[in-house]
Amino acid sequence: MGSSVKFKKYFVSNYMLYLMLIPGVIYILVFRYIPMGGIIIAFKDFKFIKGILGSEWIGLENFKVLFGSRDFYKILWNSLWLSTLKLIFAFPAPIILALLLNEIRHNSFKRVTQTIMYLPHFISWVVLAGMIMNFLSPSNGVINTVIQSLGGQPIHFLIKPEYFRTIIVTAEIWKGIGWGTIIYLAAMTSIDQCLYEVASIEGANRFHKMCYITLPGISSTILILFVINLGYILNNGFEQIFLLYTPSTYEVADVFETYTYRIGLLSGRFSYATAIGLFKSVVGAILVLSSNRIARLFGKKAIW
Amino acid sequence: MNIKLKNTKITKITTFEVINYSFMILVSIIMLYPFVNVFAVSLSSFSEYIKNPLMIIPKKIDLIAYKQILEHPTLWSSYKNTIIVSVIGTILALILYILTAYPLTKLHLKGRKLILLLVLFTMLFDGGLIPNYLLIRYLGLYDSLLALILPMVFSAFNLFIFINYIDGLPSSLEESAKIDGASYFQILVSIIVPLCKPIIATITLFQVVAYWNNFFLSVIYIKSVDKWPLMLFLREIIMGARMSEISAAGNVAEIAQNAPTEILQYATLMIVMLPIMLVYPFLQTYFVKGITLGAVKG
Amino acid sequence: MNRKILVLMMSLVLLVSATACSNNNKKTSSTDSTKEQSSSSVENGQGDKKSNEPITIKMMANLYEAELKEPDIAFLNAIEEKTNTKIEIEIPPSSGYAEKLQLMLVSGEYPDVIMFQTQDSDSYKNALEGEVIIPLDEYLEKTPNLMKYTYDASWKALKSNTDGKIYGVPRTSVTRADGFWLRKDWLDKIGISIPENGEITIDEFTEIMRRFTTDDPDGNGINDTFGIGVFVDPEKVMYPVLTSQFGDLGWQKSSGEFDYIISQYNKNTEVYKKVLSYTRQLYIDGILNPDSAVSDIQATRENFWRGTTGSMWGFGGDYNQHMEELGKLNPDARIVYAFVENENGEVKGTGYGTGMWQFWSIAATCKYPDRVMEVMDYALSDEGYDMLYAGVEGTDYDVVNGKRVYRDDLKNATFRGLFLRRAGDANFFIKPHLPQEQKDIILPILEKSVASVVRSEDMGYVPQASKEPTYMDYMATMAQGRAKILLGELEVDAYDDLLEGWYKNGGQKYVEEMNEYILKQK
Repeated sequence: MGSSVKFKKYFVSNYMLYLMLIPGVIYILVFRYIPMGGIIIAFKDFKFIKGILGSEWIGLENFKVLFGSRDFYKILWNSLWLSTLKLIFAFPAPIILALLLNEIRHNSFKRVTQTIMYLPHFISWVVLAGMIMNFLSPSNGVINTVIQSLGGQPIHFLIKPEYFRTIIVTAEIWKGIGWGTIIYLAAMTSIDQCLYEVASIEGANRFHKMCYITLPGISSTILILFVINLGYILNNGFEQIFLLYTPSTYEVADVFETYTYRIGLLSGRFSYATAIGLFKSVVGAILVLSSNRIARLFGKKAIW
Repeated sequence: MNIKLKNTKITKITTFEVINYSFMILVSIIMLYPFVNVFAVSLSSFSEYIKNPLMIIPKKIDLIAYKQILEHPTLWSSYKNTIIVSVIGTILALILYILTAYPLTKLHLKGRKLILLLVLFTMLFDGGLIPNYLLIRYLGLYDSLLALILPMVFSAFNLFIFINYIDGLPSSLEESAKIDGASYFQILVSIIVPLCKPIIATITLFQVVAYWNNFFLSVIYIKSVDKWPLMLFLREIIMGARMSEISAAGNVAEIAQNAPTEILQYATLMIVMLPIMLVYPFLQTYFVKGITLGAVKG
Repeated sequence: MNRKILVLMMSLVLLVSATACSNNNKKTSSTDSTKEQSSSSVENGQGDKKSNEPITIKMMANLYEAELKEPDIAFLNAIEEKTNTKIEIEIPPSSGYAEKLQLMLVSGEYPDVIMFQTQDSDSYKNALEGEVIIPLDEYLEKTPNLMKYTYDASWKALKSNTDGKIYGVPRTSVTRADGFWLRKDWLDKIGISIPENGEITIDEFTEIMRRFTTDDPDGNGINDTFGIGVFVDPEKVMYPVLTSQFGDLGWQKSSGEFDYIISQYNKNTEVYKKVLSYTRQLYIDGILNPDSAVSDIQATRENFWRGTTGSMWGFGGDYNQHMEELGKLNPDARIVYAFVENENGEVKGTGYGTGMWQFWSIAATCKYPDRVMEVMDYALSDEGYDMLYAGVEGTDYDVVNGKRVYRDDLKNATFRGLFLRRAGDANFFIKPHLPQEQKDIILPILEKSVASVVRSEDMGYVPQASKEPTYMDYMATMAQGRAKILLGELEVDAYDDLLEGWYKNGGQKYVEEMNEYILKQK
């Protein structure tokens, strides 16, 4: 009896919050969770004609093949290594840029630079990759012209495995840094301006304010983005890698996306491709959930 | 406060600022390059492009590519489609995010964690091409613009960003409104939403750009050419030149004969991307306004 | 735990899909419109029995251009009129055609005529297995033109994955073995001429490329030219400069361990190593443009037009385009075509196996397969083929004084170019509106390209062994090794180890299955 009264009270004061949640919950159930049933393709020998339910079960066969594959560990390593480099270099880059942009006091200058910096986001990878190839071309690329004029030998960057990761990470920063700042700049607007004024009165310089007010002010955004990025650790994007790799750089460049493309889609092994996708998702989920928990242990909130 | 800043800014120019400004200019040049290059190539004649693909100043100006694109029958219908999809989709998305994000910031709400977990999983797990396609067909959305709008109307990432921002807002205003007897909905509309302008601007940008840039949904869910969005139009022109993956060498030679030139590709890119590039400068106002908002709050 | 979630999800799927279906009937305008469409085509069909209403044929094809232009529309109108049909073509985005095919199979709604990419493609095999498409043998008896103007190899290829019946009409691709375009003005500068018959030896070819690199043929005083540029294959491995010239002619009879073998997989000859080492040397010597290792065909053509490279492997039909683009940058530029002879002084090249590039199948749901076949047969009849090649009077040309005068603003006819072709017709590649003197330059080149073809015995068959995971993994290793050999990072002899590894990782089975297939054809 007592609990039902309590429940009634709780419901009366909160029903409106639940009402607000209804559209969102229905949406994700219909548009996300129903299709998610298709993950069972990973456990089936999927035939287009027979459909998802009609195809035969093969259990864990696809996973056995995947984990038994000679190339699996190489690809796992390549994917992890490239993502780690991106987390080290490409992830902080927009944070630093946003902090520096925030220190610019001329509003018009700030606006113009910001607008310019986000432009590469709108140039497709195909076009950017073409430019990169032209820059790095051993016959007439800008970089090799410089090397040659300094008396060096031209380097064929794109076919040398040792340069591949640098090229990809640099390209990602080039395309994404300006776009990446937007979210941090938005977060900075929610920092209480009083804090800066108080700090000024107490004699803090710009650098102090950046480190002790701005950075902590956006730390929750940084944390949440970091956790989400961990969830995508085995995703490196298909297009940029496919466009910039060559067989001579396979040993470092082959990642899950390119592997899935070659093995799964080009040869029609749809179930296998789905199994690879599921593996990536599970790894991502484990990382997100555990990093979220770790954050909470330190008293921070990432996702909840 | 703004005025105070303006008065002091001329007097003190520190070394940090000199370095910072120079650094920004340098970065801007690097970032501006691809755009300038694409623009210059799109205006030049093809032979000038061949001579120097990395040009930054248009040479032997030739508007033939623009003429060809602007006369293309598919361009205008796809422009219309993309605008419809982006505008409707973004409005729907914002409503959905605001409604969903706010309750999820209430720590006392029962079931909150479960819903967050459900949302999180949508980010990580995906049923893939075929189940999504079947769903769209079952819902009767196949070959309609709704098939381009609905699948993207919600992103877990954007929702988390939204929740995170609302979390960061000072709770004092909300509490005083609650004492005044305002309902959650009233609080949301009259207090939270106005405070959220910067994040609404951000999410609007993310959402519009996501709609604008998406071509994959149209590849699988659209049948009629008159329902193509712009991005698919662009992709067909850019990828049309790069079909080497699918056919034998002799056929490649035949396809290459009719492949669109870089001039045409880049002109299309300009026409397709220019409107969306201009969205940001408009939304920017809200990022700057955030500062004064903070001051008022204080 | 996992299973429970799965069961839960699946029941959710069923539940919601059921409700979605019932909703579907109530409203949703778009399904209604598709239903209307299909019912209208049925009505058309019924009408045909009573009166002489044209029947509707729906085709799905990959045409690289989403909207048909006037020449195609005129052509289709003419064909429709002749065959009393109405042809509707669905053209999915070319960058997503493979996906579209798969989804079409999943959806269970098929157009009457479906274009498949290859006889080995997964979609096609699925369609066969699910009896989505029908055998055409009985209809082919009544289509003399299709039979007459299609390579035997194409029919054989179409039978390779079936129960011995034919399930498609080949979109014939006139099989050629292309030679090389060389800069004539550069040749003049270095004092070398190409003989009248256009044939040069390997050594002469090498010498030309070497001098193109070192002798400053463009006369700008800078050492900035290369002998040749090539491009990468679908696996992104650079194409070797010369192949058939060293005896690499695809799957051929062999006296070794297997009855048939391709030099690439032949442990007993040095042919493939010669192929590799020739290109490797050109790369190391700086004669081959180093960009070739990452270039697609378009970039390679642009390098040729820019005057970075002095020659490129190419299609004879490209003459006007090359002249036009070269001429814009350098009015003095001229080009000449050359075939490189093999070590025995013959010109021979491998034609891609089947003489077929995509094919048309008819869905089991099609009401009038006979009429569809009639349409296709008509397109290859003398009258139909003339329209296919030259276009339609009043759209593509006008007849003045009994002669055809082609219009200046000719638009691309994508559908005509991709619908059907007559086997072996070199003339097809020459646009009808070209001036006679250009036709006189191109035709002999193309005729020679067509005549010098040696057909590989594999008929485009892809053994099942190639789908084994270990084999597929190894192919990446193989591609990497080949690329490294070509780029001088590995010695040519490294190929022996690669090949040994290949045989261990499923290659043995691959060759066995291929031999089985070829012998079955004999």
